[in-house]
Amino acid sequence: AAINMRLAHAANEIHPGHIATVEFKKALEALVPGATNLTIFPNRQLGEDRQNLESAIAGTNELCGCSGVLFPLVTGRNALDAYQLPFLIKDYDHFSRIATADIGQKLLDDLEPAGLVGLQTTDIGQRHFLCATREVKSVPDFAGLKTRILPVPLHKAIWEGVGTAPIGLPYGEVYGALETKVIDAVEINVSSMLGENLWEVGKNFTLTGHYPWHHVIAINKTFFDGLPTEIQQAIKQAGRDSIAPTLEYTKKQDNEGRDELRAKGVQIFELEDLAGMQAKVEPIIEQWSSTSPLIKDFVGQARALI
Amino acid sequence: MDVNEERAAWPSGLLGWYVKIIRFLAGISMLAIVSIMIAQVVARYIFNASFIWAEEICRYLLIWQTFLFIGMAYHRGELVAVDVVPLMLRPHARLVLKAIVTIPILVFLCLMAINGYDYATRFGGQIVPAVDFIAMSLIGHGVGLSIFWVYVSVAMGSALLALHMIAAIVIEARDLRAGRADSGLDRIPGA
Amino acid sequence: MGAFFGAFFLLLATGVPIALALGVGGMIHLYMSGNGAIVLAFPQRMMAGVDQFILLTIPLFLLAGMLMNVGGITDRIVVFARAMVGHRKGGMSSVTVLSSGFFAGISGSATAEASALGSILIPAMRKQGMPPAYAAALVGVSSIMGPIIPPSITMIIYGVLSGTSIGQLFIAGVGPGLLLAAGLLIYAGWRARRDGFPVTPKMRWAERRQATIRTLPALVLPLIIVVGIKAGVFTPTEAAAVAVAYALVVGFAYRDLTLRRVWESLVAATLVSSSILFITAMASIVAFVFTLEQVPTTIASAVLSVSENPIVVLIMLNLALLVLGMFLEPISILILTMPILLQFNKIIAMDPVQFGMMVVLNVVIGMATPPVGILLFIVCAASGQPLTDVAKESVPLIGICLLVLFLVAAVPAVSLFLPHAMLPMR
Ligand code: NA
Ligand code: NA
Repeated sequence: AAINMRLAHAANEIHPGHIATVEFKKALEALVPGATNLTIFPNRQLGEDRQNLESAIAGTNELCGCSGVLFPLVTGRNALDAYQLPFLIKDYDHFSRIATADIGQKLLDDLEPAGLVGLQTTDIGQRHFLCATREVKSVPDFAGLKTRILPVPLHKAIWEGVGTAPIGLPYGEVYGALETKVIDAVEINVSSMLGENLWEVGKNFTLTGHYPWHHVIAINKTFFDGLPTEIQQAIKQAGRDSIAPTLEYTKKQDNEGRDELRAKGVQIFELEDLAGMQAKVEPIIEQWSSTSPLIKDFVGQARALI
Repeated sequence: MDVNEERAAWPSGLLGWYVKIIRFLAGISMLAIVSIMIAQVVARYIFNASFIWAEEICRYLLIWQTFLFIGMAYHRGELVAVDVVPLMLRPHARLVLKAIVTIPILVFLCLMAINGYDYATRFGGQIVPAVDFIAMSLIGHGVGLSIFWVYVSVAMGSALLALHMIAAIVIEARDLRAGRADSGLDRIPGA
Repeated sequence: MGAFFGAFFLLLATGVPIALALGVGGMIHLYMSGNGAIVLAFPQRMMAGVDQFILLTIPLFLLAGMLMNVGGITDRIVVFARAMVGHRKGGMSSVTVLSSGFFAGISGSATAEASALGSILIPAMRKQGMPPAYAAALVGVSSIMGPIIPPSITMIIYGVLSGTSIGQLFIAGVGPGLLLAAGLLIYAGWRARRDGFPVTPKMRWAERRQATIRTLPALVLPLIIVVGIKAGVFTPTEAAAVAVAYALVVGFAYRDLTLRRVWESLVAATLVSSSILFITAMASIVAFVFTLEQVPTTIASAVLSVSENPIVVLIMLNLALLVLGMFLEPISILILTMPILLQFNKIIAMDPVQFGMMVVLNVVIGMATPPVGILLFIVCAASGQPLTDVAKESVPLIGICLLVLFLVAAVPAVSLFLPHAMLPMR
């Protein structure tokens, strides 16, 4: 009989985070046809990122797809932070090279002591800067902007470094807060801008590309260890195989999405002094590298693989 | 709702302390939520600043509020129930019915207490970022408070509620034996 | 699903609190379906169910309501309403409806409203010779205006769960709120004439002016909240904390508030909120179990197999919500049904704000219907009347609410006129 598995994630059906899981399922079924029966629960059906990740660790769900930024918080293993060191990953091709390299695998393997087997890391969209109250064209324009961020130490360090006033706010309240100008800005990717209709309330979009929003699929280790070797290998292989097609989708959605945003009246700017923004947050890379040899290794490899 | 009434309903000693502590924590946690949220509005709107930890701390306070006080809320009859059928029964029959339906509830609460504790321990490796953000601004370094102290609230609350339910039956049985037959009536919902 | 509902109703009928009936029902269901191991995930679901920033509005609005009560605001509202309509046909019963309408503008919760007004207005109506069961029913059903006239906890939660603009939902509630008030006032007047209820003596203009001035500070709160949200001073969630701060300021200004009373309100609000949030936690368990077994998809396709006609779907949806409303409270219903609701509205194709208004009105009506109707329970306790009598008296009043529900569903302008007039951009 086919092995039943459940995968829960929080992204909606057009989001790259969902495509990542669909590509994974496709790859797995191509490798071992009929051997597995993977049910995907998208769209927060079974909970937010944190709950899905915890369920995969606890084994009440077999797999999860989850923002990479949550793994250090929940597992206490901080290596996956490496992907979001400011301006380290240049673009989707660069991401693809590093995620499929040995070091990409090492970061996933680092999750095993936490009870997870990491299968796939993809990018669900390079992050940029959306402002509702002013045009942001150069570094001084960032000064004092009330910017919604995820309240984690790395992001806080980056956005304070850039000069904004970072604010923690539930993701679900971002739209309303931008609409009423409770906050000025949000750091965001194109697909989320479209998916959450943020273009209706923010019209100034600055292409900063400060970091990717990485997304990881992982499976409960106890469950994984109990599977036949052949299935184990297929699952791991499916993870690797599904990276490229997902990134293809993300890249395409990002580029076409920009045109869509323009058509909806969003002004898209390049930052005049991107180098100046990079210089402001550059020290954070060294600071984070000193906390983990894996991160240090990742930084070296990423710079070599450009 | 009256303080004196609350005191009269409870024995002194250990239980008296329990009531005092619970009431103190209930008031103080509510005060904290109101203060933090008002401070956040003022800081953001007037000073263009923000407490990055505010949202997270308020959520954790709310979680603790829900579970820690549920036993006391049950005791005060705040949990909505339909008492029509039980009130049609004679006091003894009513007590027997209550004791019987309490069994699956106690099983459920025990499971929640045990699994809730397991769950809190399993994820105890996580730290509460909000507390570190606060500590950073006060003493310059994080304190690494384990999220165990948030997650264990479910286990704690389930256990307390189970104790309250057992106590309610014991008290009712004692009152019945002492001839105060209508003690079930004081549990009118919303009272 | 059968095992769940069987266990749930059995437990409910034997007097088990609704929250525990939900949780235990979910557990029994999982063991019966051979998925017992998933019970391990319950504590996580319980926590996740309340681990949401918006839910902070529950204790905060409860607290605001209690502070208004002990801070003299409630009394002043009643005096004000008496000055306005006490001398007209309907007497104190019209005062009750009007007070509820005003109180709704400062409170986000129907239960806070019923408990605050019940203790004052039921005895007052009784003194005028109205049947106590009728007095209780009128307070209970009028309290439905609480979550319809802004601010509203239920709308905030609907807005966040469905991704609808909370500001627009708030403004959309004004029209249906006024219709409710008008309908209940007409009934109260008719009933008073039929049964010959007395009126209160007409106040002199000086007295009326004084009552208005004394109440004015309390009455501007809804304005502060709507303007504050629109101007970006605070978020809808934070508005609940602003309401608390405002109640404190006004209460101390009226000199009715003491530190002791504030402290007692803090404690009481926490305990009541705990019992509501515990239901939310348990409803999350059931929602989780249903999702795992893909119940929403099954129900949706079952309904659509009956008919894909939008009107038929709309009617079935309203009936289903009303039936659920008999047994569950609003937040649980919203948590349990949201995935299906949004799917159905793809077929009904109603404006999301109008749709939200309809759903919210529907689920809050359930708060005043037996067997599980928290508003009825509150007014029964406040009046000492049996549930059956109060429920009987509330039948025609619920009928008026259903009429308003019909208007909300059938006439878009009832909800949308104001939002479109005030927020023309979207
Ligand atoms: Na209201
Ligand atoms: Na009901």
